[in-house]
Order: sequence, then structure tokens, then C-alpha cells
Amino acid sequence: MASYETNPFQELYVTDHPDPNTFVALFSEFPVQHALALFRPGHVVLKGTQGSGKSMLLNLFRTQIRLAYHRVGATFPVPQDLRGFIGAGINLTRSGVLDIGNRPLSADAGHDDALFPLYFADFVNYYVVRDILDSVNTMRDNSAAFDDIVAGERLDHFARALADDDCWFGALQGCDSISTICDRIDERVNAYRSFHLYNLRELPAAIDRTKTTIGEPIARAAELLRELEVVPDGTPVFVRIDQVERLYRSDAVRPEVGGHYRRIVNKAIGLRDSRVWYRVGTRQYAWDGDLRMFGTNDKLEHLRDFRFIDLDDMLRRKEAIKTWIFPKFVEDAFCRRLKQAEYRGAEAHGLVRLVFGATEDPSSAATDYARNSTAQRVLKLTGFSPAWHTFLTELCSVDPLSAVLAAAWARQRGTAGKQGDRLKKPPPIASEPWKRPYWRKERIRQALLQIAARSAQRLKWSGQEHILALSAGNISIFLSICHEVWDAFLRAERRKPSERRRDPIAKGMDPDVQAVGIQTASAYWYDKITEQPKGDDRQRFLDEIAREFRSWLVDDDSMSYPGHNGFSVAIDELDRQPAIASFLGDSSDYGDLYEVPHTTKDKNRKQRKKWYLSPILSVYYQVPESHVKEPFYATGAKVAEWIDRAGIVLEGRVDQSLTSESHKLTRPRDDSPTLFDGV
Amino acid sequence: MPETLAERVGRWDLSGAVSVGGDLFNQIHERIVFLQHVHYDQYLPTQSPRHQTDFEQRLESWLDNLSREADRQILLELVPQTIFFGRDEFSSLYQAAIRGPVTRWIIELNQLDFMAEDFNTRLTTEVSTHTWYCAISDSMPMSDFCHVNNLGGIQYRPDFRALSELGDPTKILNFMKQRSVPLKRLVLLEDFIGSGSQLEDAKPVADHLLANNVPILLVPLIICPDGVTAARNLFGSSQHFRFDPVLPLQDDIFINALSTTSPDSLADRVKELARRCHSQVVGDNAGAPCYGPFGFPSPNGTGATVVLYSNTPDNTLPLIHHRSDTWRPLFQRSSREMNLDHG
Repeated sequence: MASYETNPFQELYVTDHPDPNTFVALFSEFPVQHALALFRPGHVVLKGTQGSGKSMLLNLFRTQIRLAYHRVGATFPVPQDLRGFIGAGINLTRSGVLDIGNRPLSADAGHDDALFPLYFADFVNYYVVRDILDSVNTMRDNSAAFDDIVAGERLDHFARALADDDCWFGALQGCDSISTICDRIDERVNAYRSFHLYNLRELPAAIDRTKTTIGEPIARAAELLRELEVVPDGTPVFVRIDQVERLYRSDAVRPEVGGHYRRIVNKAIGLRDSRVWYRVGTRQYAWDGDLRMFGTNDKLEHLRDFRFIDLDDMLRRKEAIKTWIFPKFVEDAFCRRLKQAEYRGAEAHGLVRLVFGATEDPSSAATDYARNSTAQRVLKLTGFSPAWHTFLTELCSVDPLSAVLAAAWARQRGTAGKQGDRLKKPPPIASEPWKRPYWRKERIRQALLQIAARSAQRLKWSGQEHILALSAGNISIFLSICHEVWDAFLRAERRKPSERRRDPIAKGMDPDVQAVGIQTASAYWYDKITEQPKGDDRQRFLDEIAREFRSWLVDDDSMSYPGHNGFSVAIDELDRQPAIASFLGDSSDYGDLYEVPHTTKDKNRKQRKKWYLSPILSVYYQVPESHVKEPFYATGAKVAEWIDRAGIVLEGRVDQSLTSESHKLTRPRDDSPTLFDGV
Repeated sequence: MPETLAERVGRWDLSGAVSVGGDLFNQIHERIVFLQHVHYDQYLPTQSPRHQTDFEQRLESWLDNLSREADRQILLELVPQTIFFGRDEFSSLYQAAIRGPVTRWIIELNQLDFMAEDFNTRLTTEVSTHTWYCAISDSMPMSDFCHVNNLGGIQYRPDFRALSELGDPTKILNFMKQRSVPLKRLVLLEDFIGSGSQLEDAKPVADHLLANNVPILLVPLIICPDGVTAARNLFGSSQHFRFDPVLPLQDDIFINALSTTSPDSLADRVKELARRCHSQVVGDNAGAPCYGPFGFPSPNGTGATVVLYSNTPDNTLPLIHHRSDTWRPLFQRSSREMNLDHG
């Protein structure tokens, strides 16, 4: 057994780990087989919310990572027939390219703004070509790791041809080897960096005279590698561009300059140039915001210019649970962490289940919440006939969950009845309609919330099902839950004598310890909201809607609206309210809200979208994370009211008049019969 | 099996208990465990075998002084709010004393010219060779101070509190003046000054030197507001006296009889609790004096929440440091003299 001081989830993020071996040990290859388009020709935009694992996947293009796999004897997780590529790239944040635009070039701001995108493009070209050369060198020096695809003896010839190419406008003239080209490139990149650190009075004139066109030097380098047979014909060159959203959804660069930079990246992709293939990592809405190409009015076209791989879509749960790959992904990631921490038994099958167990059944959870409460408090026994009163009180003593559901059923008016009809009749003890599967299933979480709230208890989440539901297909959230649960576990265990310590694999973790850790993980993600651009606004917005959701669900004694832990808005209304649409889109991008298409039950059949709190935040706000029945049908005016109450001033137009008349703040009844009710 | 503290805070969280600051009790416990590793384990007075050396066991015992869960929760929340000065912080304070107050004072006294070529040499000579560094009391670790600042070459560094009681002021003056390299000025240091009562004990010798035109700089490393007033009242009238503390603590961090606290703030609840449990804290009153619910001096107390790695000042809330037959402290104070102690 590993030391009780060791939390296998201490390091949440391994993407940027300085040691490639750690990446190899902890990287779960599971998503790769579902994202093989990444390793096939064509431009690919890898979309996903924050923490969904985009950078982790893009890391597979790094030559050092591939080498690390070889060195530790592990199989590189890309199929053999797709491994013959050259990988290179740029991380926009770490490369320093975003400094361009932060220092004026001249006294003429307009002139500067015209030049900044050209310098940005030039920097990207040089940086990526340098990375291509690094990759080629590494592949030559470690030929066994890369199936001998680089013919090292041809590199000098390649270097001379590359230096002579007119795409550089003479900037590489005189270079006759890879190393002299690398030196020349480093000189240029360092000049950019020095200038922006105010170590140079002005950018060297040579740079000003030799600015390059976005993508062209990269494409020429790739083309020459194949043409001069440094690599076999048909070897693709993949260029990853990570953190594109930094260009336009952050304070890293001025918005108008960032917009130009974004369009430079779009242009590189939109050249329809098959010499090199780009892989762009970005968040969902951030990509769709601006598809124009620099210097033209043309826009990038999905499928024609690029294709998407949507990690959120890939990893989130669908209707068919058998095709849901996230549980297998987390199982693998979980197992790797425990092995890395040298936990005994980490080889066991179904490790997540062994450690966290199954989520407690709702009846037991309800009994636990109501343990120190009374039937009067749990059931709010006012307005019931003596027969109902006696029945519910007795039922509550043995099965509080059924009692609360029965009380709610009695308060509903039923299919065609009037309010109060059911209360006038004796309890239908023989048929127990509150136990009909679908009626019950849709209200269980609301019932648990009401029992916990009326008993002054917090809702608890624990067990594998809850943990997967809270993770919502996001590996970072899953790992952070594991981190906090393990931390709570270790603190509870560390002072126990060794013979009393609990082996988490053999005996599993106590559900209450898990619940404590999950609460802490939720508070962590709540605090993290404000770390992102405009996070303060979004956090206040979430505070507003969550307060309202909780109050609706707790006070809804008849449980007519069990789905009101989310809201839905008609898409045509969002189209008329772009500022609100953009705000909600951003909230989804940053993972604060969880967006799902909504098939409406409204007679007008308008297309809608629905939003829920990010499941992990449900714990902080003490609202069920499950999505059942119909959400709250919100108008644009209602969303605007929430935004206003949160003290947020949106950029752009919020037109109240468009929403005030035709869309009232309605809460459609949800106790109407469904196909399966028959009650 | 008894409930561990981690289990206890988890139970509080799951039962819906809410901390004053809004954090989960599990988060507060996480923070305390972190602070234990970087700070609390350094605490010297509990390192002898006579004491409970394990911090978390002391913490559990401390919480168990009180029977109400709500009171225990206030105590737990108070722990990360205490201001703990560890060894590293003191090393920084020693350096800050030289780089700030001492350097400023010497430049002004000698009217050193920043632009002069020999500025650095003259400053170093004056700071290292012609300035005598002594402590107010023996709680100030002068050897650590001198090592950190690379000060050497002077044989004696007496503490002025003992010197005033046992020494000869004339011999002190002669020692300074008759050295081959004379000591032109005196820097008096103290690690922590609460109410300033120890300054009075050091006053006779300091007064004698001031009367003989020896410039004195008083540099408390940490000082409470009452200490600032006391220092100015005691020595402020002399033109040769300068007072320049490194870290003066602000009024709003003290919880005492005269302080105003926001309703329902943690300070407000601690204040109420300190009053309510004071008789339990005092217990049999057999050990060191306890003064009042808010510590030294009676009757209002200072109400500091300061703990030094070397000891806890008696100006700090007694519920943190006082031991009696009915109270087990978190940071037991090592008292210089039973029932004769001053802050």
C-alpha cells in the first residue's frame, strides 16, 4: 500500500508536465480511438469546454511525447498506420506571440494596427517552422522510435532549398544547414521578444522588410520535406495551434487586435492548401464567434475547410448508455493514477466501483436525511384529511421517501381532476400510484431535496453514479473530485493506527467521506469561475438562477415542476437577443452552464435550447444535478431580468421590447400525464 | 473508535452547519493541515515531551474544551485566522529591520549622500561597525538577527531589561565609547511588543544613554497599537530617540473589551465566546496569570491573535494559549515567571 500521505490525484493537470514520462504514465488513450480524424489528413478543429482534454490530445503531436512513449516501452496510442506524421505547433499563450500588439511600433496607432497582424503571422510562421525542424532533428536522432521515416542524409540539401525559398523574402539567405536556419529563426523570434520587453528601441529593419505570409513558409517546409525525400511521400505534417480562444475571449490582447489575429489563424486554415494540416484546440462558442478570414470577407466553411471533433459531444452521456465512453475513459485514467502512486490492488478490474461503490439508493438516503426530523416537518402535514394524515405519518416512519412522494401525489390535481380532489378521497393504498416507475423516477431527486431541506441537512453526493453524473463528461472535473475525495479520506485516515486504516481499494471509501470531498470539489469549481474572463459576472448570474431554482424545487410541494433546475429559451428569441445569446454561450464555453438542445412540449414546436447549472456546481448550490421533465420555459425578458438582478451590463443590444409581450413568464404545468403515467 | 477531526468537520458540513466565513469546515480543516506543515509544527514551547507535540491532537483537545458544537466550530474557524510568525517570517523581519528602519536612520543621522562614490562603503561601515544592536528582552533572539544580517565583531549584546535591573549604566556608556572602533549609536530590538510594559523595564539604561547624547533607534519587529503609544510616551521627548517599527499591527485585527466588531462576524463570535468561557479558561488559576478574557493588560486586554514560533505573547487571547485544570490550550504559552508576567 502506498503511503497515507500520497494523494494519487495531487497533480490535476499533466498536459503541461515538464516530464514527458509522467504524461505517458497518466495519459489515458481512451478518447484517441474516438478521435482518429485528428491523425488523418484535413484541417480539424478540436472543440470542448474548459478541462475537457483538448490540450491533452493535442500533446500527442509533440515529438518529445512520442519519443517518451518509445523510451519507456509503451505503445504510442495512435494506430500504426497513422503514426507516420511530422508534428509541430504553437501554444499561443506560452510562445509569447500575444505580446505582439502590446507595444506601439510608431506614433501612428492606425498604422500599427495594420502591421500587428502581419507581425503576428510572421512570428507564427517562424515559430512553427522552427518546431518542424526540431521534430525532424529529433526523429532523425531517434530513428527507431519513429520507424526511420526521416532520411537524415538529405537534411542539408533540404536546409539549403528551404533557405533559398522565396517565401522568406531572403531572410534565410546564406543558411546551409538545419542548425544555421535554426539560429537565424531563433534570432528573429528573440528580436520579437526583446522588442516587447523594451530591450530594443525598435524592431530590426530586416524584419520589417521580410514579413512572411501566414502559412506559406510552413507549407513550403512541409512540401520540401516530401519533395526532397527527407520523409516518404504522403507523410502528413500536422500543425497544432492551441489556445486560440486567448485571441478573442481574454485580456491577453486588445479585442480589435485579437480579432485580426483570429482571422489570421482562420486564413491559414482557409487556404485550402493540402501541404500542411492544422489542428486547432478551442472552446465551443469561441470558435463559432468569428469565421472570417484576414483581408477578405470570406468565411471558413465547416466540412469544406475543416471538420469538428467535439469532445463534449463525444464524452457526455447520451440516451443509449451502452455507447457512453466516458465511464471507460475515467476508469482508465483512475487506474493509471493509482498505479503511478503505487497503490496495492491498482490492477483490479472496475477500480472506480471498488473505491467509490454504488450510489446509495434513494430510500436509504431519504431515511438518513430524515433521521432526526419529524413527519410533521418532512411532510408539511397541513391541509390533509385525518386519513391521509395517519397514513402519511405511518409511512414516513418506515419510508420517508415514499411518504413525501405520496404527499406530493395527493396535492396534485391529476389528469382531469380539480385541485384538492385527491385529498378528499382516502389514500389509494392498494394501487400506490406514487410508486409508478416514471412518475416516481422523475421526482425522486426533488423529493430528496425537500426531505433534506426540511430536515436541515445538506444533499449528499457519493458513489460511482453520482461522481460520473457530476463530472458530465469532463475529465478535469472527475479528477478534481477524486483529488478532494482522496484528500478528505487521507486526512480522516492518517492519524489512525495502521491496523485500523481502511484500504480504499479493498474496502472502498466511506460515502460520507466522499460526500465531504465532493462538496469541497464543488466549492473549488465555484471559486474557479471568477478566474476566467468576466467570471465575476457569470458567478453572480449563477447565484441568481440557482437561488431561484432551489426555491422553486423546495417550495413545490406537489412536485409539479421537478425539472425546474434548468431553463429553456426559444432559439428565435436568442437570435433577436444576441447579447444574451452570447452571454449564455460564454457561460457554456467556460463550463459554468451545461447546454443541451431541447425538444419542446410547447404547442408552437419552436426550437429551443436548455441550460442547467454545470453538474459539479449543483453540489455547491444544493440543487439536484439530474435533468428530468420539462425545464423552466424562460423568455428573453426573464433571462434579462436574471442578468439585471446579477448586476451585469452586457455588451451589445438587449432589447426588452422584443420579449415583454409575446412571451410571458410561464411555468408550464408538469403534472400533465405522460405516456407512461396513466394515473 | 473516536471520531477523527476530519470526520468531525465532514459531519458538520453534511449536517448543514455553516461557517461564519462561508467556507466548508472541510476546507478550513484542509487549510489548517497545510498551515500545520508550513507553520504550526514549528511552535517551540510544545516540543518538549511534557507537552502534546502533535498539533492535530492539541487541536482536538482544544476544541473538546467546549461541549457545544457551535462553539467548537468558532474555535476551528479561528485557527487559520491567527497570525502565526514562523522562522522564515522572522528571518524576513530581521532583514527588513536593517534594510528599512536602520538604514534610513543611519543615512539621515550621518547625512550620507546617495550620489557619493563611497556611499555604499560608508553606509556598510556605519551599519556594521559603529552601531550596537541590543535586545529589549531575552525573547528577542539576537544571535539569529546578527547571523541573518551578517553582523559581527561586537563581543556583548546584553538585553536592556536585564541590564536596567542588574547592570551599571556608566559601564555601558564606557563600553561604547572606549572601544578601538567606537559604537556611536544603539539600535534596540524586540520581537514583539504588545502593551509596551517591558519597555518601561528597559527605560533606566536607555534614558542614561540618551542623556549622554547616544542616539537610540527602537525597532520592534511586530508591535500592537498600545505598544506604539507606550513607546512614544516613554522616549518620544528625547531628540536622540527614534522609533521605527517594522510591522505595526492594525487596530482592526484585535478582539478586546474596547474593540467594535461587526455583528455576526467571526470576531464578534470569538469575542462573545472569549467572555463566556473565560472562567473555564482560568480554571484553578494555578499557572501563569490570565489577566482577563482578552489577555494582558487588565482590565480590557489587548486581544491579539498573534502566535510566534518561539512563544505566544500574553497579549494574545488566553483561550489560545492559557493552560489550567479546565482548559487545554492550542499554543501553550511558555511563561517567564508564574504570576509575575508582563507583555
